[in-house]
Amino acid sequence: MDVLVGAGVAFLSICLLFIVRLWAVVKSGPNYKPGRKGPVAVLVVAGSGGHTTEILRLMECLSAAYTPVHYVVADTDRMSEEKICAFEKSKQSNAESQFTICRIPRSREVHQSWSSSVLSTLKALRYSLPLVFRLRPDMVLCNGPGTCVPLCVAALLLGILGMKKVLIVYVESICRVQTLSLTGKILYLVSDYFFVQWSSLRDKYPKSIFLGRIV
Amino acid sequence: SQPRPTPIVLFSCKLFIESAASPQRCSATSPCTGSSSGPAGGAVTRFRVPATRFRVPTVTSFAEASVWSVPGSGEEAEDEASVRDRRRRTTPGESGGPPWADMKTVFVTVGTTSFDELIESVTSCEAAQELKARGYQRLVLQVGRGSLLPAADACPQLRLEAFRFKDSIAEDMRQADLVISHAGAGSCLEALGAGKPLLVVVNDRLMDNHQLDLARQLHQDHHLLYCTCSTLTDTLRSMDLSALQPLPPGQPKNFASFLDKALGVK
Repeated sequence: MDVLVGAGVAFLSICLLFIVRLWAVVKSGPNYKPGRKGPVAVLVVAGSGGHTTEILRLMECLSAAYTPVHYVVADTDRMSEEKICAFEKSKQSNAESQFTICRIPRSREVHQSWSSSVLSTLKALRYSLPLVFRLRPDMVLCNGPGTCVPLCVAALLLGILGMKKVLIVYVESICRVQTLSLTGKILYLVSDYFFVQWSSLRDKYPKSIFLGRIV
Repeated sequence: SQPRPTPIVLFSCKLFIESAASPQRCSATSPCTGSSSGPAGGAVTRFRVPATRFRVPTVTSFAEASVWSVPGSGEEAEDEASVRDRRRRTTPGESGGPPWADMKTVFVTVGTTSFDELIESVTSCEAAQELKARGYQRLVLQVGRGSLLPAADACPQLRLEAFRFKDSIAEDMRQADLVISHAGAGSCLEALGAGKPLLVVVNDRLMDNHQLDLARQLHQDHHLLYCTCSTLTDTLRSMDLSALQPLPPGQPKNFASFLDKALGVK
């Protein structure tokens, strides 16, 4: 009986500690300036189709200080890898540019049921955790596909365990005019920089950043 | 039997690599990185692009919007024929192109979806009559996954071409004088980026999805016209394309400069 109570108390304390650490990690976002110490390693989540196109448009304008770039694509996505290779080749740079492409299982296929999505997201998490722990990026850049949820969870975990603070930069897709995507709703509270591209969303979500159309 | 559709690459990149060098690839489990990856599914491909001069490729992005005249700005509103002529003068020359290149063209696209109702409506006698009355001579249909793939003689008033998918529809967009599209964001933005007048036909059989929000917002901002299959013919008869405004391109530079400041990048 006492053992059960003891275990229950321990479990609750760990949960409480977890929540406090999460809150501290999220709060520390605005003061964390990885650019001051040197190059900023970026983990870019390339969802399929339009998501990849949008994220590559954002990457076009980032300076050479953002290196190395690690692209993460879903394992069932052939087109994104080709688009990324073509994009990286086209970036005119005199220095050697280095980038990697990593594959993880897709969190959720289009029209997949919600109950099975939980299982497939957990499966994707199993691959995302070692990947993020190994790459240790300074920043995760994503724009809405389900693929980014396990990666952002892994990035938050890195901060919660005190290993490294990873900034989460989320750019909502241009398609989202009145409502956020499911991924956006999940990440709205924990992301460090949350961009929306229509003013109606900025009014509904005050923490978001509105710079007009950036894609 | 239906052919397997190839996915559309909506944005085309043409690369010219002067050097014959190809990038080195090594996987995380090969000796050159010296470390093994995590679970089998987390394979890492490392690319090192050699320092070689690359010619700048032509990237067709939906941000390249050409401007056509807006009535009330002091200039006379152009009619469709002179808009087409002006655009042809400013786009790369079509001399030596196929004989239908000079025909006033309508391009219909349904993206990766299936939208038989639109294909049927636009090839109907009434709609074809309205298009012919406006001076259009050629109708190109991209039917996607739909079950209707009209033959060339399905529409006697117009020259008809139909296909399911292409790697890139940028060329079809470029040749078009009017684009009729489903409400997909990619199709809308590609047409507006090509600077073409756009008529969006909403599929009212589909459940309301967020893609309609973008088409609705762009319509409110006067960048495109909006109708359903049942009102298509009436819209083609009464539409005023000169009232449409060009869509200015997005500014990713704003994002980059914000991020540089926020992250303390020098």
